[in-house]
Amino acid sequence: MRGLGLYALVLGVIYVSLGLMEFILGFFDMFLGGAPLSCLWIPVDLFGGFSAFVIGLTYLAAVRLLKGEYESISYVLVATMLSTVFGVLYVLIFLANGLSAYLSGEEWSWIVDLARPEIWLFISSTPLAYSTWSTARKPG
Amino acid sequence: MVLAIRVALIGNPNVGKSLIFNNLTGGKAHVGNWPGKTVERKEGRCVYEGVEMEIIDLPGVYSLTANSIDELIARDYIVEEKPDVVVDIVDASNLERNLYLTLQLIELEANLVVALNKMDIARDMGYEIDVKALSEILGLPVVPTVATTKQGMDELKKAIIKAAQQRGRRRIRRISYGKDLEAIISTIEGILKKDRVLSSRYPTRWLAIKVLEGDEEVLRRIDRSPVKAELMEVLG
Amino acid sequence: MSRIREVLGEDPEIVLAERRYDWISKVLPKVMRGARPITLSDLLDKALLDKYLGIPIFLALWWALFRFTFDVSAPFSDLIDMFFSRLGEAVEPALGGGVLSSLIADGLLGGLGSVLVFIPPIFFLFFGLSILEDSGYLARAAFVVDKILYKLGLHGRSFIPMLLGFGCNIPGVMACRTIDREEDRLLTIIVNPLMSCSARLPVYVLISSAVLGGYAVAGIYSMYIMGIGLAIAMALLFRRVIPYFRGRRSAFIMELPLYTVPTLRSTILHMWERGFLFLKKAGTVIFIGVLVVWALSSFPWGAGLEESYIGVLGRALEPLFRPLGFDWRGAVALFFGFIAKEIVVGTFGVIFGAGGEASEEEIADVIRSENIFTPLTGYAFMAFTLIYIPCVATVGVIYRETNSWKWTLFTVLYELLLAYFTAFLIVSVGHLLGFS
Repeated sequence: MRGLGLYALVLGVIYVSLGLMEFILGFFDMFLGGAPLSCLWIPVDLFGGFSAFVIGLTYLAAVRLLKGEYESISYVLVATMLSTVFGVLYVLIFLANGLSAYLSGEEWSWIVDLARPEIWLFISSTPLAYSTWSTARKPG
Repeated sequence: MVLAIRVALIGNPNVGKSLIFNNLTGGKAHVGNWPGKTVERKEGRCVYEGVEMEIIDLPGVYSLTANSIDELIARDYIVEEKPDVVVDIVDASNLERNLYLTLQLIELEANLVVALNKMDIARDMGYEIDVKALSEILGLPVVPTVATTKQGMDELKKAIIKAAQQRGRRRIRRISYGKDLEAIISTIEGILKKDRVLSSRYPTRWLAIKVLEGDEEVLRRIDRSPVKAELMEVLG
Repeated sequence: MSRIREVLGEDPEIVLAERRYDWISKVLPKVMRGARPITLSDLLDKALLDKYLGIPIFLALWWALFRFTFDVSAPFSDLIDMFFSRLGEAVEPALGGGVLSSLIADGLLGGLGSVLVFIPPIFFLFFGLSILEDSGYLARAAFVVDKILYKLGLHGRSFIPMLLGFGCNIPGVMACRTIDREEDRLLTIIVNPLMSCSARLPVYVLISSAVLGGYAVAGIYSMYIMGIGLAIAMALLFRRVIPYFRGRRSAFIMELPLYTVPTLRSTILHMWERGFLFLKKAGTVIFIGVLVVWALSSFPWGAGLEESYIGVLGRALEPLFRPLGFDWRGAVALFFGFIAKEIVVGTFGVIFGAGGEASEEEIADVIRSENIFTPLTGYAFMAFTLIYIPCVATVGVIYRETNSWKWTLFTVLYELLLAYFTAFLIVSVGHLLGFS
């Protein structure tokens, strides 16, 4: 229980920071004419950043697991689901961009697409997802 | 000795009302519409121990306000047609929410029998319900049933017949809503009682409660009453 | 009732409800033992219906839906686009110039083809919506939003009919039958068309990909959010300002369906059911609409586009729209959009069709190069499309459901005004911020 709680906490902090940075970069880009520092691995994505931020908050809401409150596992359940949704989404986008590039003969920046942090965070969340979901499925 | 009685079935949506209706009437029903409305009206017959019961299925409702057509239909039937018995079908696995309607039926002073359905599901969920205690607290006969396996149907029919026979003679359990509120209700009741026409047609306590709730239909009925002015003064 | 309210400290109606529940909760322990074991469904609900996280999670999932709808379907749209333009290239020389050739190349392939290009996003949208709905999540989203709407002063059960409006406003309007009070039902019907229906999606996609560049998806997403926001705002406004809508509200009680894992088969089935309606519409109403537009733009035969009937119509309408930054082409497209929103795109397809090879890419290029829309005016155009009158079919259903010319007319009028006002606001604020 404590282990799960810590794991969720770590993921939560990462998602929240990632989300904030994506959001800020996106905000600069959209309204202030250009991101100040374009870090290679952090996408410029206003709403994507917001979403990552929300996922992070959901993970963090599970902090009460550390105190032993079983019900807080619900936040981890939902957060891992969200991680999955977005992880799969960005993989699909990666593939779709590839297909588009193939059709139009244009360049494909596949590294950027594949390096989307949410994909890797999703992969790192799978052990947590597995253990929380199998625990939750057991009755009682 | 009663030979023919009218029984109304009421309850929340999805409590098994239709199933119980079918169990009682043997699946034969006369389906039509409530006069002037698009809501379905089901009627059927049931004979048990020499007593003929005309069973009517009221719409499934969560409460009895004037806000929706379904609720008005159910309420009007009970208040105007005054059926001999009203069976309140309660979902045992969802007691808290279902009892809200039961309280309103008690306010209406309907001749109630409670059918506590889905006892099997409640048991599976880990609930243990003390039927006798519930019956004592409500002041009503409570019959546990499992409509899906037809358990409790005979007991229900017996309870319905007994309730019809005891009608008017049964002590109506008054459920208190708190001293301050009850004081206000009494005051309003006192005023309403002065209107003989109104108070002979409807239970005054129920009228008083509805007035407090600002019930549109009830207020409309009181609009032409001689006691309206006095009432308005008290309410402020 | 004011004196009573003073004595009790609150509305007697609320006090009565509270006392009943108080009584029940005191009695319950005496007659019942055993707590319900926590189910997986309860756990999920705890987070999804969370007071603070519920709506942000909804917004995030909605964003994911749109990324999916737009970005993942893009290659398929490209495929259809290429197909139609190759077809156009092949057909035109074969038929030579002349009416028939123009009919097929510009009218059919250019006009209709430009609409069919949007089949992938529409189907992807319905796919995603089906998953959200079949899993049981959408009901939770509606519950969370309804709870807040109720606190704001709106009625219960208002959000689900509105959510249905995202596919098509017609089932959305009909779903309002689940609302108890007639006044509340009417209110929800009136604001329902503000929920962006799938027919408007092609317009958003076309314009945003033409002028919004990397922010295309954000622009589309914001249209949907704007629709929700305006629907709520208008409902609140009308409740406050129009006496008919005031008074008691419908109760806020909802049965939440069970959570289920949507199967691939059922999702595809649902996607197909709804998407098929679009195809059917394309085959009929849009087809005819596009032909009409083609005819109006090609005759008098031989005259240029600007001298054709459609040009005349456009010139007449243009002054109305100039403050918004739309030229006569945008005006004319909006005009025909009354028949079916997809025809807005179809109209562009016909009048921009440089011969039969009008692909979406080329239309977008034309829009950009001839400065028909700038990012700012394009966005305003999208907003206008979102808000201004619903399509003929929806108006018909509104009339049928409300049984009143008065309210149907009211809906049409207020939407026109709101659309104009909003687009104007967007353009004005944009100018102030320095956009052109």
